[in-house]
Amino acid sequence: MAAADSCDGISTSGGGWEKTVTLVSSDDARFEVREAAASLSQTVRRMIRAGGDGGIPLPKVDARTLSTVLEYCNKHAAVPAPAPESSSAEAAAVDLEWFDKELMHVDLATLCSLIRAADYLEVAGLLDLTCKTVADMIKSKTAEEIRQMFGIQNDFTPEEEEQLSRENAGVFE
Amino acid sequence: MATWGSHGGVDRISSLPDHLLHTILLHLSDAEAAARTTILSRRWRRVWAHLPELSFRYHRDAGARTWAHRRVDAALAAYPGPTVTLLDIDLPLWAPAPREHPVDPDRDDPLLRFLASQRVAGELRLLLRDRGWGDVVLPPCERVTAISLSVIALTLRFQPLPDGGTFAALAILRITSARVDSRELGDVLSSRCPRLKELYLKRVGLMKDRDRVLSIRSNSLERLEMDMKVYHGARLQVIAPKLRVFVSPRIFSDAPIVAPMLLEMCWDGPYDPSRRHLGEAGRHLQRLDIAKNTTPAATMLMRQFYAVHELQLTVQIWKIRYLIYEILLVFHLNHPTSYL
Repeated sequence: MAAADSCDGISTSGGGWEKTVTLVSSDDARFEVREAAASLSQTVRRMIRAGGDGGIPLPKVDARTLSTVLEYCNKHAAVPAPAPESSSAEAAAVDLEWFDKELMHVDLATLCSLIRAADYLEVAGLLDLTCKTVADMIKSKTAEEIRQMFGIQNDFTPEEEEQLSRENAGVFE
Repeated sequence: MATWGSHGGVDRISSLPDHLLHTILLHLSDAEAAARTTILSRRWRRVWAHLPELSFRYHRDAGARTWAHRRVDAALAAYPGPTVTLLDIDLPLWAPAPREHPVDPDRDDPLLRFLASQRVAGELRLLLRDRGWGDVVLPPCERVTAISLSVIALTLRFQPLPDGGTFAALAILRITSARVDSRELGDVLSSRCPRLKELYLKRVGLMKDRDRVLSIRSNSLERLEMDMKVYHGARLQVIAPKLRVFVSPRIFSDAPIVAPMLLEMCWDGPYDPSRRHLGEAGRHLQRLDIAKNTTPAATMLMRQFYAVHELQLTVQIWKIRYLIYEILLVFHLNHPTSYL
């Protein structure tokens, strides 16, 4: 079966046998990862289905970013699905929330790399998490504060700025 | 929360492609805050101008009562894009009591102006809790495919249209917690929604000073779910040749329904063949759910059908023996291949 070709090995985890796949970053670092975790990426999932030898190449993601993405995937794929209202489900949700928050303690460059990687790899949960993190930073800030935070150059001429203020009078009140 | 060291003058955020900056702005759940990014730079001005969805979810914000409506109005007035695929507005109660704000039908309302400009091509979600102007008058939205409206403590009206504007693309309509003029709603559903497939009317009341007759005649409707306030003398008429699913936990007392293709039904309340309840419905159902009914009504209703593949009954337990007998009689003897 073609799908089995890209599966490099079998490993034990939690007492059970699990398939693993190898992902190769743009800078040729190899990551062996459980297929269940790697499959949180729709892009990787499609490539596993398509089959192939020697690991799955991800030419748009460097090793440093990929390792953070895989940290996210490993954590989120590890969570079993207990009954939605049980106390263990609640505890797991709190734990995940805590993990996500910790994962977002990164600098802006890393955050932007993670956004691009989550988009390319189609890891929906991580894309939401990273974009929400940036959105939370924008919230309740003035334009000048946002510019300073992100290093955005104001390239409007004074005339254009005046026109913008007129057009968006209600918004800038 | 991310922490920033020096970014070395490189503007990494602005160099993200448009669709990712859109995703970031959409996560604000506040199109007015998104609108304010227009002033950051030329790049951000273009990003805001093409934001594909406008979402204003202010319901949970503390203190939103005092500013939410103004911000929606300001952002909608400022939005320069040609279309959005989603307009999603969830507002808290309008701050001053409605009676302090006399209804002004000519008031220029940016929300209604935006809808009337046909710039919503996709989904419209409105959760309004009394904007302080009495009626919510919905203009025809030619390109909207799905509408969810919840207008608590308000009356939903439709703009009368001499030139015959329609909801030409509308496939799914959900109205919740609103009061409606039954004749007006019936006219809109019957003659101005040619592609309507699914209709949900939940906690919908009928205006007092009008005929309480809701008459739906639709050649496209496939699913009808209702949970309406029932008034004495109110009537429901349905003629829907393609109707497959009908759910009405609280049926009108008089309800002739013509639905020859019916496959699934949930029925509650009195069933009376003399009132032409289900006069011309399909006789072969995949699923029948008779909820909280009296035993005679349940048995009379079951006799309507030759075969039911799945039956769910909720009845008074002390009459169960009689009912089991009826079930066997109605289904097993009439149609030995059907099962329960």
